[in-house]
Amino acid sequence: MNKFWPLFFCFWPIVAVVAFWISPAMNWWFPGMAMSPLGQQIDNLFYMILVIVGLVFVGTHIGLGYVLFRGVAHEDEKKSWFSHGSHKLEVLWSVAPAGILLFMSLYQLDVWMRYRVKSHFPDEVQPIAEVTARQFEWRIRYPAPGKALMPTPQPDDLYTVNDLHVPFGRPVMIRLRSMDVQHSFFVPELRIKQDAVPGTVIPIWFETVDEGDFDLTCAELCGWGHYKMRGRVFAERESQFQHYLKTLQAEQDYDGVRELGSTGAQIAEYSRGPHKQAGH
Amino acid sequence: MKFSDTIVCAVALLGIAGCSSNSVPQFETSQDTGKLFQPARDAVESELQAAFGTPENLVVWPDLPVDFGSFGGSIEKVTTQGTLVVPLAGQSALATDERLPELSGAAVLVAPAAGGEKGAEGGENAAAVYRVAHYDPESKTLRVVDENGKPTQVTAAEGDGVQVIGDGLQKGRNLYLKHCMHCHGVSGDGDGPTAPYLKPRPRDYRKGIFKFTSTKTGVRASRDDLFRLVKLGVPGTYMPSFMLLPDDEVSAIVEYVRWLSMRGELESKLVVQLALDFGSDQIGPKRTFADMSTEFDAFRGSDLPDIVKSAGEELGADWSAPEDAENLVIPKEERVASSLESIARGRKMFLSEKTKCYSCHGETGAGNGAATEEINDLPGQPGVKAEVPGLFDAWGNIVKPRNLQRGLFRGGRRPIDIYRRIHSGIKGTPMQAFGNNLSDQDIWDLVNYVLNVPFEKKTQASH
Repeated sequence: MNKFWPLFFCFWPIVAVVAFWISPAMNWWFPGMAMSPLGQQIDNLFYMILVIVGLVFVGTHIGLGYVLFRGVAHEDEKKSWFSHGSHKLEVLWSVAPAGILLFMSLYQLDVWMRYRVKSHFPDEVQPIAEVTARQFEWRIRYPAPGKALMPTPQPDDLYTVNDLHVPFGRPVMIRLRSMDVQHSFFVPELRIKQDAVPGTVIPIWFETVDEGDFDLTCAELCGWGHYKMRGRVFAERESQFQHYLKTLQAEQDYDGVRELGSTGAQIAEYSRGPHKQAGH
Repeated sequence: MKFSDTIVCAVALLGIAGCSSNSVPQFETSQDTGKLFQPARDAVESELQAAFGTPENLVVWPDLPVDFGSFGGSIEKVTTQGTLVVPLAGQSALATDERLPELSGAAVLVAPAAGGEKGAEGGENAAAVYRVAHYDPESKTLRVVDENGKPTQVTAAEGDGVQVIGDGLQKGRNLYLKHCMHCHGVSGDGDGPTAPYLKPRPRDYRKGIFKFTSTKTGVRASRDDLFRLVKLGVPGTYMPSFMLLPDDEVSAIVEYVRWLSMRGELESKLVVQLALDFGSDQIGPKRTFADMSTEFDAFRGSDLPDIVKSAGEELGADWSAPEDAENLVIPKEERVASSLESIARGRKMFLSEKTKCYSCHGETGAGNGAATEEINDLPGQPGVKAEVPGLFDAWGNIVKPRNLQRGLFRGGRRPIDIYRRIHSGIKGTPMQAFGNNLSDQDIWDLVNYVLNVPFEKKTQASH
């Protein structure tokens, strides 16, 4: 029974190490592979931190196990003694982590700047849509096909909700706004998380490596309906994206006379993903 | 080891506490029903119960133009007690093959095969009613239970017709309780738990009125209208977009919302008939409770069944009408292209005495016309002045005329949407229908003007 606690405290670190070791292969660590180049770099940062923290974790737990087992092995009851500490040791375990933290903060600067600092954005990235978060949906405004997005609404702008279509293979930018409270634009598969703050317009750029549809969720508790504030990001071929804008334009100019099919069917067409529109 | 015992106890406690807070959803009666004297109130409740049931136990009233989600087939074999071999096929849009494995609790009607004229003449009571316990599409076996969920003997023979009805409605109910109930309420009275915090208030369906429709004046909302509204949401209100719900789920929700509207309408139709003679405030020294009860018993025996029947027929007609293409508002002429001339004509029309748009929407379209400051009549009570100034909708809420400068259009921003708002008005609000007074050309000019209001200053500056 004496060995129960030493074994108990050694068992969990081993479970943890095994879990972290196999988790990348089992896809437990991230929500799928990063679908953007910048996202892959962000993943690499996470892995770097995992390695550093993992080494420290394994080291300290080997030490802890050693101390526990030695303590159990001592049969004689000695009085415990109180240490006022070792100045050298304290300096060491303060400076070493500080050095590691400094290294991490400097090492990630490059990725962070590319992600957040305007002067480090890709050269010819242009805003393709304005996404306005509101309780509890994402309202999206596109410029008319062939035009640039203006800061203020234009008469020929196109509007939709909860479905953000973007072309893949090139960097695109969206302008993020909020109509009411603070929300957060979170696309886990693209490794994007950016708060939408009322009163400001925040540019976010990203590049999607392949076509697909990704979950868009709100990552800032924004009210009772926060959980239902879901959208989708469709990454599609440039031609499909242009076709989408044209369909949206036809729908938005619909005057009830010119033939377009039933309104329900039209909307149904928009809510379908790129996989189902593969014919175009 | 005491430590782990505590954990076990805590988990057990959580389990018990977590399950005990389940409450059963109930349909609530309207305030107007509450004003009737007790026996009349009971009668209304029992009629509603008979025609619509409870949220737990839905009743299919086949007279209603609702897609209840029906399947049909004829019995191939009766294997054991309560188990039949029936190939079931969908009979309506909501009854798809994917639903077959999930059929549970839906009503089952087993009718003897039309083996000769006798069977048909045998009367409507010939069909026996059960409920689905389980259906396996592979082996086509249908296990049924009685209405209380208990195993039962089925009196059926090969060739008998089987109808499974109400599955679509149940699906709609489940989705409604998940996505809609907390604002719109279990009975669709727009008074769910979150409703008090919302302005504008969630729609109360019980009048059968929906504001933004593609149908003519006085015609209910069509399925397509409600479908579109659920998918796209209503910008400028708390109604969010449900774009990510699959189409079949939205259709089921729409069907359930229509059904709830009909339930609310039936209730108010009955109350209107009863309120004149059987209000609880009419009990007095001249007319005691006992007098009224005697009168009511006679009324209930003679007139009430007819009233329910004709109300059902009215509901049937009212809610089939919007599905009729003749009742849709379709412009005869194509939209006049938006040009400075058209916008100028629209503005003139907006400011004219013919339309008086400005009296509510204001001369600049800011929604601050003089009518918003006037004392107006209360909704549905001509001649009775409200105590506060403002415009009222049919639900008794003060409504603001749309501020057109903001470019937010609740019923949609397509030209056809705005055309329909002008042509047939916004139902349940002071926004009138102008379709009879204005030509298509006039309305399109107005549409072009309205769409241009948010950009007005720019247009004038650049010209």
